[in-house]
Amino acid sequence: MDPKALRFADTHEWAYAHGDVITVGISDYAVEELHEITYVDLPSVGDTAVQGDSFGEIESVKTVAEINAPCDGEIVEINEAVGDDPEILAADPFGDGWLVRIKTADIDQIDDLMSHDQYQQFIEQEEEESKDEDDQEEDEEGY
Amino acid sequence: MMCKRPQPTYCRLITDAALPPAANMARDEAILNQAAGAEVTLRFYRWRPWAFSIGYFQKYGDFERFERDGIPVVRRLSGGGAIYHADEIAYGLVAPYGAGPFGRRAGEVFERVHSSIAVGLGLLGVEACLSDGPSGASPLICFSRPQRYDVVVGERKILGSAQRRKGGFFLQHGSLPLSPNRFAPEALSLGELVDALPDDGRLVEVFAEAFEEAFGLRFERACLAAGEEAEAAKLAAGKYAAGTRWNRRR
Repeated sequence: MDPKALRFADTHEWAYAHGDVITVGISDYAVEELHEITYVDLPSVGDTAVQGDSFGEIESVKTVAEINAPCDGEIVEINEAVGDDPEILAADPFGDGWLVRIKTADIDQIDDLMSHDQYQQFIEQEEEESKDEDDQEEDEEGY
Repeated sequence: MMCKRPQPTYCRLITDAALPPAANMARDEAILNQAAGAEVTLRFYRWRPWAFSIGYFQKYGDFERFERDGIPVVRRLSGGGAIYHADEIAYGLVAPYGAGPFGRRAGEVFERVHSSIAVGLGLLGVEACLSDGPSGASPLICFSRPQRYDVVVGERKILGSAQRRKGGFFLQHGSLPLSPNRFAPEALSLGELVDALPDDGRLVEVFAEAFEEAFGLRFERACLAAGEEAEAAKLAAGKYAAGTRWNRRR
């Protein structure tokens, strides 16, 4: 999947609309940030997804992070291979590492998400904020 | 150019009495669920009765036999391996990650928080450092071997932590054994390293001081807010109660 064709949430999930079915995954940035993913827990087919709410969890480095739904709808397919082998997610987050497909009744919700360019700016800003904090700590250590 | 540090607006230090497993996990979850703004909460507590907490992704079946023998088992929100909470002091830290003093990535948070705990141990005369051991999947019993960023004395683990992340905040659970733990004989305890074990009040004082110094915070002694107490009571009686679906899932 071409990342430039995807939409992104500020919680680092991506979404790709094909008709009213939205394929969802997490970004390469999120994968790098999580580092060494050990478990992925996905919902069941038929479960309800609510935009912004958690539909699954990922564990890495003794840390459990929630995966949030980019739109409302019904889970119509899950990528069981990722649940069985989380390395697939780490290796190809925009392709074989997709997580779920959601059939949505409100395709316009995808417009709420960021474009690829907007997402790149968003993560650069996040990195910058963290860097500012580190720089300031170094400055303060110098006093 | 100096940037303005986004300072946490309110930093609470909560010292709870020894509480049952369900109450401890419920209180930490309520604090995480209601965290807002740039608030930081550090809660110290003990467990009574002694109990196993198991990591979010662990299998209950691996611990069922302990529950049959009368040892309670509760599932944590956080990841990692199981801990037998006996004679120890435990902490739960809820704070924002990202543009704040704790860092963004989980490893950064573990490294920074554990470094401050190592400083606290230093104040007690214990020379501790962080493990450069492997990361990856946790062992069944958390204290059975050190993983990266765990606090160690020599090669032996003395403190480990695990996290849950939600809505821009992390909840980090950690435990410091005060005397040898029957289910983790490989680990060290504070009591084996000091001539006289400080009381809980002194331990809280030392570690809170180390946190304040490391992160530029000033704690205020506080209790849970009424809303947190109400949510915690509900979670303790429901989700985390003995034998619930939550505890026995997987």
